[in-house]
Amino acid sequence: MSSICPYPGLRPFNEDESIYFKGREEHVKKIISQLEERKFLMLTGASGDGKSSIVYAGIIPNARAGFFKAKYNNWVIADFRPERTPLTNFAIALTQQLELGDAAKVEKELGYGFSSLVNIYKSSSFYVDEKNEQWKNANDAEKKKLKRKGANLLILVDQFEEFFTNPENYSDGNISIPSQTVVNLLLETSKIALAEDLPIYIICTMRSDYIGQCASFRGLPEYIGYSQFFVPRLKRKEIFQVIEDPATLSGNKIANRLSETLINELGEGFDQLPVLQHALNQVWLAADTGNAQMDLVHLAKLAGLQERYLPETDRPVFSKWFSDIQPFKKPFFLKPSLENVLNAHANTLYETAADYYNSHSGNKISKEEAEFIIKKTFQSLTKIDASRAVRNRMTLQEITDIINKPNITTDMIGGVLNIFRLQGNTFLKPFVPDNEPSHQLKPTDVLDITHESLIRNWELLLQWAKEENENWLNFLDLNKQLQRWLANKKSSLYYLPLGTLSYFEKWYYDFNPNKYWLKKYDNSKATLEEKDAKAEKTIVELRNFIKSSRSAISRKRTLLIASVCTVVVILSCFTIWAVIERQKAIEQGEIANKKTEEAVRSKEEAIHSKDEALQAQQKAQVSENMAIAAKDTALQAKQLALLSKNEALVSKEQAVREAENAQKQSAIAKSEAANAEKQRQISEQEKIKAESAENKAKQLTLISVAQNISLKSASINSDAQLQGLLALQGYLFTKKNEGQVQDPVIYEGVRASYAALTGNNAGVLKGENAEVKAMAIHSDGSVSVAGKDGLMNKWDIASGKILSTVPFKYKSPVDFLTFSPDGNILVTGHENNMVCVWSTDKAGKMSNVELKGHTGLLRKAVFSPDGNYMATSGKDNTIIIWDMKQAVASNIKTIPLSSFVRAMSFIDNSTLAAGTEDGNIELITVSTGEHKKIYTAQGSMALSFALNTRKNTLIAGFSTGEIRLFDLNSSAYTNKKLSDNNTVGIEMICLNKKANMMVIACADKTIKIYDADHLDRKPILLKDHKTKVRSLAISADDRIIAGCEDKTIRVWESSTTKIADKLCAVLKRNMSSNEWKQYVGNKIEYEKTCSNL
Amino acid sequence: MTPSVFLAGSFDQSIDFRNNLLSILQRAGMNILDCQKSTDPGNDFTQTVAGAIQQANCSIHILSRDFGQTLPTDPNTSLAKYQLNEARKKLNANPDFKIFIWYPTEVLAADKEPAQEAFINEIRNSIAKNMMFTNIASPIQLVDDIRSMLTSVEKVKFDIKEAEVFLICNQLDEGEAGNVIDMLSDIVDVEKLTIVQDSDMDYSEFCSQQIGKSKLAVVYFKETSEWALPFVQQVWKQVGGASSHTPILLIGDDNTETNMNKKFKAPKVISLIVAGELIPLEIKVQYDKVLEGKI
Repeated sequence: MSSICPYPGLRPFNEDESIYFKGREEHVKKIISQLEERKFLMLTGASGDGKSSIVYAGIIPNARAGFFKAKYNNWVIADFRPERTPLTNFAIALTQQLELGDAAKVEKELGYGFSSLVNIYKSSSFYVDEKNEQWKNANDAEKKKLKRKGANLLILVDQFEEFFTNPENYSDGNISIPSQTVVNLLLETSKIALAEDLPIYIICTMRSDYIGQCASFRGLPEYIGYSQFFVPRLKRKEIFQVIEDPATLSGNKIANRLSETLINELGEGFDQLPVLQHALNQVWLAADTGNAQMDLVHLAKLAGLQERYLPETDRPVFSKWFSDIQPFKKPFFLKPSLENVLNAHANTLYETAADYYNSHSGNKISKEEAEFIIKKTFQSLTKIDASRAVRNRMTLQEITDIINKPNITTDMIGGVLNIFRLQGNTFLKPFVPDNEPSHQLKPTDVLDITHESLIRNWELLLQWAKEENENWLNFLDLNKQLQRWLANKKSSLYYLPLGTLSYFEKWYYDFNPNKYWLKKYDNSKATLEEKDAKAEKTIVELRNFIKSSRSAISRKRTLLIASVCTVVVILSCFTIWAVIERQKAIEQGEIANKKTEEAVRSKEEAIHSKDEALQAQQKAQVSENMAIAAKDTALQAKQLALLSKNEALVSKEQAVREAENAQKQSAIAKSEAANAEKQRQISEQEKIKAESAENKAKQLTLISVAQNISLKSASINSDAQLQGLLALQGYLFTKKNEGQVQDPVIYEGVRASYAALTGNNAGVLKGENAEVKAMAIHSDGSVSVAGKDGLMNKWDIASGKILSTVPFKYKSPVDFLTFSPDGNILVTGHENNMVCVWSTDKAGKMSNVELKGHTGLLRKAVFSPDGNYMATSGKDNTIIIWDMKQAVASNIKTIPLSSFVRAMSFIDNSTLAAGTEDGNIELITVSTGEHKKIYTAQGSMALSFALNTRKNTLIAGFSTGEIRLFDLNSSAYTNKKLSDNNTVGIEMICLNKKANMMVIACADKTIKIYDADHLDRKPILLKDHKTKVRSLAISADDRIIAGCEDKTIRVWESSTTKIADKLCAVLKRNMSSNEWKQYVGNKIEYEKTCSNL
Repeated sequence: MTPSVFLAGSFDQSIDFRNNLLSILQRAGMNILDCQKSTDPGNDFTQTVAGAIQQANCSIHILSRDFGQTLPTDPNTSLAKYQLNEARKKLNANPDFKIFIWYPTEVLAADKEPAQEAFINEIRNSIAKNMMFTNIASPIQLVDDIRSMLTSVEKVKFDIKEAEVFLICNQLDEGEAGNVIDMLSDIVDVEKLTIVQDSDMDYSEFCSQQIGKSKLAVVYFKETSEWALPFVQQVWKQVGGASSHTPILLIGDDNTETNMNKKFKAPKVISLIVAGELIPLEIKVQYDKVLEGKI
């Protein structure tokens, strides 16, 4: 048995592995035949369909083996990829293969185009000129000798699309001259080779996405039309050969059940073959490098198959193996699938890269450093092109420059990446050669992701690629702002505003872009030096722009603070001045009072003097002169006193004014103090708001955690207990933090885990013999259902048992069935246009009354809420209103309509809503038959109606998936569209009794539960039943009951809380602290999910 | 030749799948051996099934959600299981017979009866050669797969003679190879093939057929090592590699220096570079080993 793996993994087959290249034999034969005849072939196909393998492991080995009809025995294969220098690469390949010596000379000669390549071949030692004298004069032996030296030339241009993907070759629709030259050489050489029958053959491989762009090359479309081969998709039989034949050839064994499982698990579209080859390569390794028969258990050990699909004998082996694996690997087994083999493998390498480096390099690196290097490397090696992550080749030096950390060298990066290059782990090119396990990368080595399927299937890498794209978009955004600033002469008006600045500043300093990173995205035709200078300039300008914006904001802030301080100081000074002035006024008031007192005293003295003078006048009449003199003296004293009094009054008035001023200043000071108090209160309110926002943010975080763990619970299939605990914890977080417990994720988590724990996925009631077409819920909670088999069963939903069965056989097949609101009358419509009204007699038997009137096939019947009227519709484009109050129903109105009715519902006891096939919705007055069009749908029609009695709204579901709410309170019956993304017809709508829950059944077999008070919220989706819903009802306790096409009745509990309340009863444990850490996280303190456990 | 297909009868809800598949198979040009009409699960049914399977080139079985109706004589064997067991018996007796088991995606996703789940798991884990177990969604693609599995590419049949040694050389080594054959043909019966580079002959197919009728295949080279190694690799692949009954001897003349590293190491391949004059002897030695069962 061979110890060489016959499956190459993610990389294409090489020439040495052609012995294991199977499944494409017929295609290789056709390609060779086409090449023999036309000398040129454009081999196109989708990504990952094995174009390179077909050439390297199919065409070339077959040619060398003599299975390609050509002139010579030997072949010279000049293969190259255009990359960024197509002409140079072509010249190098030719020089090496034709042993020409000087590649520069060859490139110069090729630069002339047309016959240059043919001339070069003819002048090489591999060409035998059968027209020259040497050949003509040679004998057979000499001719044989000459022929042994001759060689056919096969030129292979691999990845022709690089003419379009590299800006150096193709930019803005313009093709570079070297590219044009190469294509000219290929086409002209083909023409000459055909004309002169030269053994030169040209084959190009190209992704079919680029075929349209080939029109940019003159002459190329014609040649593609002349000779193209589109790689066909492998058929099942051929995929089988891909899987089984290499094993058979190499003496390994592969179980048939594994082959069949691999084929079944193989998805559609891209990456079929790379994903399959990778899985086979890993299975071979897991099967003791092919020494054991490759089997399902090996696929399961690679996280590619669920344990339950293993043979019973292998399950204990797998369980034991699984319990022993390293803990970090266990999460990789959450979603086993063929694609997940690749994801799990890449994750394992990521987790173990540091250990590998430490044990192989003799140096030490931390796990975080190694992971950082891997992330930055793979981000460098990917880019987003037209919203798709694609490969981006780079040298080790370029990657080191982008990482740009002084302690991280090219050697260190190369060493960390080695694990991704080993044989068996071939994720990065160049691979570590088998014979050189210690191979180290050089700074100039170009690294490339082996296949884009790795980007699409390694979840971590996909996430990194998105992050890288986000960084690039941030740069573009910031650069746009920068260019505006520069264009406006660095005007302060174009600085970044505070919010934008904070965002970009954080991004800039967190991500720290450098010129090397920027160069990666430079698609211009500039030289490397020019690109380098441009990138450096941009980085410097970016930094200056951010700094300038920050400085401007800082200046503004300083100015603002200074202004505020100045105002505060002025106010303080003013207050102090006011206090001083007040003091002064008080003091002056006191002086004035004193002066007033003095003036009063002077007045009293003057009065006293006057009294004395009068006494003297009376007493001394004799001495009149003396008395007159005394009188004058007294008058003078009086005048003095008056003067003093006046002065005192003036002083008093001044003191009063000053006191008033002081009071005014005091009032201003008080007002300032009040303002300050107000500001303090506002600040207090802001603080409360901030605290409230913080609490809200915490709540939202916990709600987000709740969503996350609920989602995780859905992906855990192997441990129902853990699944239940996560779902319940998600519910509890949501409830505690005032989140929506009826959120679809929370509901689904709780519902699915309860089903997994109890083995009871939505109560499925079996026992019906036909599709359940009609359903009625009785006041005692029992449900009557009727099917096309002519049996009416009464179910006890709680026990899942049929309480009674009553037949209602009729001579003609049933078209529809409907119950009256109280469930006591059953109405059936029949193929003979007859409506039958069934009721149960005293003996419990059903008898019917036939209602005639319709002339076309019957479609529907509905009852008015009070049960007094019934409306039936048929393909005769009429509605008939029946009076049901009498023992025998009578036709009270036949209403013709424009087309036949698809939806019908009474909106009250006197008005009927009808939706016709031509898109109209009409309201019909039962008593008169008058009808009024309230809406016309364009390109769709109403399929279902329901009435929200609480809001007086008519809810209409349309064939296009639209839901519209018609306001019955408005005279114009205004309507609004529910913004949901239903795309398939809404076949049924139901509301519960409280009218706060709306349930719809869609044409794609799904059921959706809406919060009728918040119809904009995302609905809960029920889809596990995978069968069409034929009838729908909601029980009094809000359970959803559906009669299904598969003859079952299904019952769902709609309340998350009710299901969650039952979970602890079926759970046997709480989460361990490790589980809590793994699923909930470190930041949230551990709590028991079920306090009773 | 139009393939005769036994389409297993369905007696439960999978009848819709069956009816649809029947129509598609008929339109794909297949001859259907139908046992659906025989709804009596007693002798009539078992006899009809056994008879139809005997006439068929292959059988198609559709898996259903329910275990379904069982044989009156054996409550553990459903009618579906019985039909599959009969097809398995035919496959054991005739390895060219093919069994196609279709597990429609709707059934895959549905809740199944425990007995049926066990039956499906048993099938899944006992897939043998020439049994196809598929969950393909489209019945048209299923029929396309079935048709391609039943169709084999018609290959040119060469006039092949049984030989003890089949020696292949390139036209450019024809003279030297002639000498080897001259010396060898006195001892063993040798069939020779010369590869002419610009010939129209399908060498690959010819070699494949002739090697199958020979005891030892020899690829000889002296000046044409660039051809010999890829040639032997492709031929080895063509004849089944390790599973081939005929060993291949790749033998080169050591007089040409560049031949020294031209070896192909693979199961059922002996790769030797020996002195030109010893080549006939070495071929005889290896041939004897083949006869002795040592290779």
